[in-house]
Amino acid sequence: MLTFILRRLLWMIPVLGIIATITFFFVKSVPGGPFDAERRLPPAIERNIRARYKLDDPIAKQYVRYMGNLLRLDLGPSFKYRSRSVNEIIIQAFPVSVTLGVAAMTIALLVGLSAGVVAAVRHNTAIDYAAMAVAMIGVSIPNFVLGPILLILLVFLAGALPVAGWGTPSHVVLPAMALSAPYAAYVARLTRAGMLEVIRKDYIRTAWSKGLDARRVVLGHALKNAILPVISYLGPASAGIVTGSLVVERIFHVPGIGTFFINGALARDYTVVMGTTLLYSSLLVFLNLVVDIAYAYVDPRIELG
Amino acid sequence: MPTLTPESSSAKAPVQADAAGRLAVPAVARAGASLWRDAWRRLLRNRAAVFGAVVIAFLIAICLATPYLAPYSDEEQDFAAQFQPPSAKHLFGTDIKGRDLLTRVMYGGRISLAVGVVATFVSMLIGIAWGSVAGYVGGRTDEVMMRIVDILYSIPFIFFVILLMLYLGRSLVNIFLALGAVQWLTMSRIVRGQILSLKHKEFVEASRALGAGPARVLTSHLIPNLLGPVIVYATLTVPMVMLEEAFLSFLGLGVQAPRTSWGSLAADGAANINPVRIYWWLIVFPGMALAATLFSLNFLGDGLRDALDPQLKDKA
Repeated sequence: MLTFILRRLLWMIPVLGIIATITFFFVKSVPGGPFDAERRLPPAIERNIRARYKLDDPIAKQYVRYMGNLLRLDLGPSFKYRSRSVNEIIIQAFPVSVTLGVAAMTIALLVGLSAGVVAAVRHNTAIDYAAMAVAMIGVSIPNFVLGPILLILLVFLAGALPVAGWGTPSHVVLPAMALSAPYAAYVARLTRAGMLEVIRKDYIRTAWSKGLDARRVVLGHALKNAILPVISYLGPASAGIVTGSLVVERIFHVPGIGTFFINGALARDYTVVMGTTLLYSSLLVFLNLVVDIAYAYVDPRIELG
Repeated sequence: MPTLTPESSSAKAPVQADAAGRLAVPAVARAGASLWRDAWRRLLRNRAAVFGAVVIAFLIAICLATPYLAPYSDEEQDFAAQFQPPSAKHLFGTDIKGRDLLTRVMYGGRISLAVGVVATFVSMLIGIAWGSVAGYVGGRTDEVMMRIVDILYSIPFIFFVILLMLYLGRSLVNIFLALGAVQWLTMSRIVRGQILSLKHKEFVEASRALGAGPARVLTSHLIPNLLGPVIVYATLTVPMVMLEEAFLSFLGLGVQAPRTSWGSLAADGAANINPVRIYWWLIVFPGMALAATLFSLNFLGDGLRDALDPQLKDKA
């Protein structure tokens, strides 16, 4: 187990190195610089700025310097937000995105698991059909459509939640709901299918015949095995939530990493784009590792190799 | 090259005559005929899949006929009729420039569907080429090629698509290329797996024994035989790609005005929504068109998978 984790952590290093390299050359080859966005700067000032950000060095030298700084976790200065470094931006924006992502994942799991369990226990009843119909719709509505619709229903018409922005817990609810909906729906479908498969097994009959109460049988015995497909889906789900937050942050004006990435990309803010891409990549690679470990932990038959 | 099946000159003479000069191909097509008919029967029994197929066929028909069907012309602006709610005159209402939303949704669907189909085709070409070479050549080459796929798998591609769009410029062709270029990984794995299981079958050995080179064996024996799983996965790729296009267009990085797609229509809708002006139709109609399409394509893809390749169920 330990060697597996170590090996996977080591494997992250070349992967992230490659991602950093691709991003670097990619961003450098994008036509147009960060400074020709607004009005033309006087040549002298532009020369000074280029010198300050060391943009006149040969590309190989810039690359080596960038990778060197990366090893010291220094992502460089931002081009657009002149007085701030990328590190400062990330330190400020990352907790926002993490809060949103964790909230969305929690909603997806809570809603998805309970809906799936209830649908399976009440198999072929109206509850089952209703839950699965809602799940089917949830899976096919993209979050950038759901977001504005929720905004209209819950904010403009019902007036239950604040419009947009960030700061209080009620600000988290709407974006987290929009972000989590497709995953909650898919988790519900997976849970239901898993439960239906498990619930007829002999060991469940044994559990019933021992006289255990329904809660122990369903949650303690059945769910534990039915949950495996859900756990392996956590990898793609967390990747989806991470990328989905790009759009959801934009809809609800959440000042997270996604907002900075998109604005950085549009403003050709090289360092912000590279920094946020790297952050997202490390997060995804790391989350995949966590999911693999969780999977092996829940299912002892899985060998980590 | 002589044909491989013994009864080639007798039983199916018409097929033979049609494809004279390409003798190996009719052999493959005929061997597949019963498989395809079987799959077709299984597909027709799947009501959800048939429903999906009907919806998709309907949407494609509408999109092809849009220039004749659309109630208004694409760019017809009427600033006197800004933000009209749905009515008999404008079934889906109008947008900020007074354009008829139904017309816009129809024209947007052309782009959305085109992106889905073409980008999937691009990813199919890359995936088939990569996977079949890796699987057929094997050994060190296979090792290196599949390791590359492994590494690419762990890269969050949406970021690179965004960067790619900035780099290449936001034209339609670039959307096809950028989305196709990042969707081929799973396809290449499926193709490689199929090639590995097929390449030591007797009919392949026979062809090789008769002097066919690798290119010949790949193109006329292996690739036709792995089309089943490829079609299934391609059907499931189309909705993924359409969703990504909508995602990009929503962020303003995809389809550019005056062209439109369901994603950019949804973005316009979201941009024009505020507490004072609840123009729900701007987001609901394009969103519904997109959701219905994704929904049907997923049903159809699942049905095709069950019909054509039941084993794929666990893999994909």
